[in-house]
Amino acid sequence: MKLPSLVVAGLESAINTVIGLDEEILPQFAKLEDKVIAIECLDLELSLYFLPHAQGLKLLTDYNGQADTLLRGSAIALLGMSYRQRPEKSLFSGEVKITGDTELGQRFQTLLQSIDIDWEEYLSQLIGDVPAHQVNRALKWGKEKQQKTMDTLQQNLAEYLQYEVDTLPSKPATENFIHQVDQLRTDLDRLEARIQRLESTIN
Amino acid sequence: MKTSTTDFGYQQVPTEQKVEKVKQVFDSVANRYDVMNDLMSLGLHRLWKRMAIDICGAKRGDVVLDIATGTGDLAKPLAQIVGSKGLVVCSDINQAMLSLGRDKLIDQGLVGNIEYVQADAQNLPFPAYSFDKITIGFGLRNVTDKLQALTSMCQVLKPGGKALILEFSHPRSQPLKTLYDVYSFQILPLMGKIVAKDSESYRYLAESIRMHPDQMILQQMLEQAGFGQCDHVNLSGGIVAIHWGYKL
Ligand SMILES: C[S@@+](CC[C@H](N)C(=O)[O-])C[C@H]1O[C@@H](n2cnc3c(N)ncnc32)[C@H](O)[C@@H]1O
Repeated sequence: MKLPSLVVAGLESAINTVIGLDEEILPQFAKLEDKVIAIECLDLELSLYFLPHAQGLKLLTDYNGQADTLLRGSAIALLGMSYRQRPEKSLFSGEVKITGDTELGQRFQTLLQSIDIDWEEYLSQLIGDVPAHQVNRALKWGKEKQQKTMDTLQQNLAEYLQYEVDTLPSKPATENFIHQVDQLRTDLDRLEARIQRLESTIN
Repeated sequence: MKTSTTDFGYQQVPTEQKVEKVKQVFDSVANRYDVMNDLMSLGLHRLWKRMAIDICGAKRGDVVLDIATGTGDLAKPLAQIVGSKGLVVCSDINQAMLSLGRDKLIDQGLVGNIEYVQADAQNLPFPAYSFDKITIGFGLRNVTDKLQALTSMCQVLKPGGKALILEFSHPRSQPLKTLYDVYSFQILPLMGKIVAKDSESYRYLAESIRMHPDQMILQQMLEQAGFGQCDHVNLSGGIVAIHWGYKL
């Protein structure tokens, strides 16, 4: 199966936003410039290529050349690798195998663990909500931490859209609109009550 | 003496004037270009470009030419992919667009493996066998002699190299066609008027898309220009297509 562009695009921008927010992580990825890290998910038959560069990470679903290192495992093993403190031992079936430049593979693993990405979210976009949710539960992924990143992300996104692109209405404008909708709904309710009253007089 | 003419949107203009007219269009829209791209395509152009990059198949160390680079939307990921051992040459016929693109890329920290060359796609000023990949995104449509541009691309490509064309094309189904017509001739010029204060340029855009060769014809043109193993995919029902061919 080939990963849909939309999912990869979303994952790539989430990763780069997180990396961009962290001044210590970015240089570490940048150090891996010119390397290619392949991740292969065996049970889902998915491959994803990570190309670090000075501004973050580029994700590709296909790569024509030779990857420097290959991390291979089941979806659960790979997820476990990116969340857990100790990636060497997987709680679940199977392990993540590294072939090629193993040092690079381990370094990349450690880097992935240090960024807060909701991998489950992207996995669920591929395989549906339930299984991914169960995986997430099993991993007891620290919700708090995750929530914090999401909040920052959302805030950044909202600010970006509002001020830089200026395509979203501002909060007061939105509230005003919602108020008007509420008003309309009340009016409608009243109208309906009146119609019912009229109907009962006719009958 | 009869002067030769060519299409400029739905109008016929003397061939030698088309370049100047196209230049006026891009001069006029340059500073609002990115915002309009998002609005016009409802953000879809990002996905189309992403797919083009995936299909293009550039790798670490490649030397890539991005023609009609504009604000550098394709050049950016290309530079990130080829890395410090590779090179991306950005070229555009329009100096205003090229420097806009350069500023934008430099602002984002993309330096070192990118060069900028003002050039006409019809006469690429590079030695033969210079590039591993060539991309042209939403640019071919504006070129007066498309076959000449494709031939020029084939010349500067290395043997085994791949050229990729991302361009508006022709929707495949009738309902989509109808919807698309309303959108491009009613809504698009209106948005152009409001956002870029210029409805004419966006009318030109819609017309030039209709005048552009359809999927099969463009693929034949690629073959005529000397490319082999040519193929294409439709995106968003054929509103956009990605064509490619190899120099064998
Ligand atoms: C719609 S923009 C595309 C920009 C960018 N590639 C993108 O996808 O966003 C088209 C560009 O083609 C350039 N152009 C028009 N005619 C050209 C020609 N004959 N040779 C090279 N570039 C040309 C214009 O100056 C303009 O920057």
